[in-house]
Amino acid sequence: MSTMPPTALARLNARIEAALAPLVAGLCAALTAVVLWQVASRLLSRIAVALDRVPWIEPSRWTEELASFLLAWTALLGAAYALRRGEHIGLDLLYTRLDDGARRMADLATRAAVVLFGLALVGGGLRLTWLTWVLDQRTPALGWPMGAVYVVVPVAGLLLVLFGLQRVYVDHADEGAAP
Amino acid sequence: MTLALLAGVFLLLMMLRVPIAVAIGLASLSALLLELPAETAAGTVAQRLAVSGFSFTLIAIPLFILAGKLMASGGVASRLIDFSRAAVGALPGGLALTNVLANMLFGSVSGSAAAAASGIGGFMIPSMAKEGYPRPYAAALTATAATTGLLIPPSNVMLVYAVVAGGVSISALFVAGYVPGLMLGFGLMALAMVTAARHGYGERLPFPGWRALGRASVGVLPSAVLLLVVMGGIVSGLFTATESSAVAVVYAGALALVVYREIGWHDLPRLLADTAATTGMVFFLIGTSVCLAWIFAYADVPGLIASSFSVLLEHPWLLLLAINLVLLVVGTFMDITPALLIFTPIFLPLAMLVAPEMGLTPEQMKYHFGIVLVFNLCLGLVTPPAGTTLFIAAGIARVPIATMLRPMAPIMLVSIAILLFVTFVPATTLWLPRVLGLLP
Repeated sequence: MSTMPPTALARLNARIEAALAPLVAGLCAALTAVVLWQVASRLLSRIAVALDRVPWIEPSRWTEELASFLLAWTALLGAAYALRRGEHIGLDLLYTRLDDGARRMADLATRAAVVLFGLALVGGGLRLTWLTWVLDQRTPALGWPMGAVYVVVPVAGLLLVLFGLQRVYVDHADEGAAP
Repeated sequence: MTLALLAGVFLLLMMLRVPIAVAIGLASLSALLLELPAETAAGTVAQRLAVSGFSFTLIAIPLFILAGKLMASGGVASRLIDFSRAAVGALPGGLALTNVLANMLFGSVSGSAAAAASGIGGFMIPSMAKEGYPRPYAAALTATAATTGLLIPPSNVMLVYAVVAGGVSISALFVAGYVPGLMLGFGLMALAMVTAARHGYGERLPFPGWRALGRASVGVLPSAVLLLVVMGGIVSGLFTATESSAVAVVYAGALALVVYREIGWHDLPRLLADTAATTGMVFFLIGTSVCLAWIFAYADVPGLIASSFSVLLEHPWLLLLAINLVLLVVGTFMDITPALLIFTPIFLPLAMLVAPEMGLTPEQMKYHFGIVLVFNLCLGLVTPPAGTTLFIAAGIARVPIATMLRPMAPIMLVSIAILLFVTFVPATTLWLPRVLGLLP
């Protein structure tokens, strides 16, 4: 299935995972911080109004938009990260009743399905990014190019392809070893 | 044709154990390919996935997940367990009751059932096993008790429902979940007492004394304050649900890191990465399910179902019963988030149509039906063969899911009885929000 020798792919994926974990953690932290800033700015400006002073802080308009983009990034890269950790849930109703040979076929088909979906996201995501870039669609509050937000879709798709080529579920033996 | 292809691809992929979100995504893609050129179809799916987070309400979901993880590992969960044990541990089936009560209390400050199942179950399942409760029973009870937290607000899945249903006040919806959530929790506790007495599960624990109960109560005071801030903030309109979820993160983080010191700053990157992974799974399901719901709407599935259910429109009680049965079956295979996204647009219009015959306004029906839907699909999280809390509890107890079927049967029967009572008595959901003036 893969043109790369499996060990090279496994090594590449391990490296990607090591870089992905702090990235998604940072995105998640940034998301929390942005929403908190929204609460704080709204409460502070309300207090200022109550004290009859000119609000020295405006309730932020850009926080909702930025939070949405951070969520899109966290969610898509997080979904790829979850796949790497073998956390996505599948139905094993039939799978557990198969013999070893049939299981290998089902595993192969599962990996092919994930890779196919990843490829669709790469293709569709690149098109989406390109179209919004060419049309110069801008986000309403921040004025950022929408393409910069959408580019996460092909990136996540590529990660699904790379991770899916290697494996979709982590072996139960490995799972027991993990904390 | 579109629908047959969609169903065929979906079922085939599901049987092969393809991750559910990918199965939904590929099935949607194949249906879109019938109508659209390949690049447009793929672009549509890509766009739905990217914009699934573009709703300020849904931003609360990752924050409630993070707050839940902070509470589960940061000492809030263990104090809720201590308090529950002091309060109900001396009754027959004491540890089972402790388990349910602790899950309910955890649910009252957290929006995620998975956090409850791992935070409370991670401690309670092993302690129940040590006291002689069979592991499959402990796992089945924990999986079900954890779902009370999705009815007791705050609740991530109610946020999803509010977004799909449209025009729903989140504070009123949240408050409408209290009575059904408490009914389910107390129903489970009553059943646990009977089960323990019949099978002789567990030693009777001695009552620790009023003094110990007092001390344990002091231990849960910070959680009570959290409840007041989060739910008080939402109900009074001071915060939106999203803002209150951010406040919950800060408060739970401060408790865990500064007050209880049960986790250190070096644990944060791991908790944040875990949160991103869970968020990714939830939103992957949301994005692909939105695609599917969109195709359903395009193929007029709501219309088809409405016409096949039209006989029942004159019998609103039968209609609600039929919807409940369909959803109970759906829920055993499908996760709650995609089920809400796909079936709310199909069934909610029908329910609103029959609202007057049940003495409700269509507006009130939106809230009542939302709680019924969430309650019903919560049971789907627990019923084998598939379900989030089911998997978590079975994993903690290290038992195969098949062994949980027997202890699960009476728990399910009681839960379904309570679900039907809630369905047919709208006062269970609407009374509290009306008393608080959140609904007319």
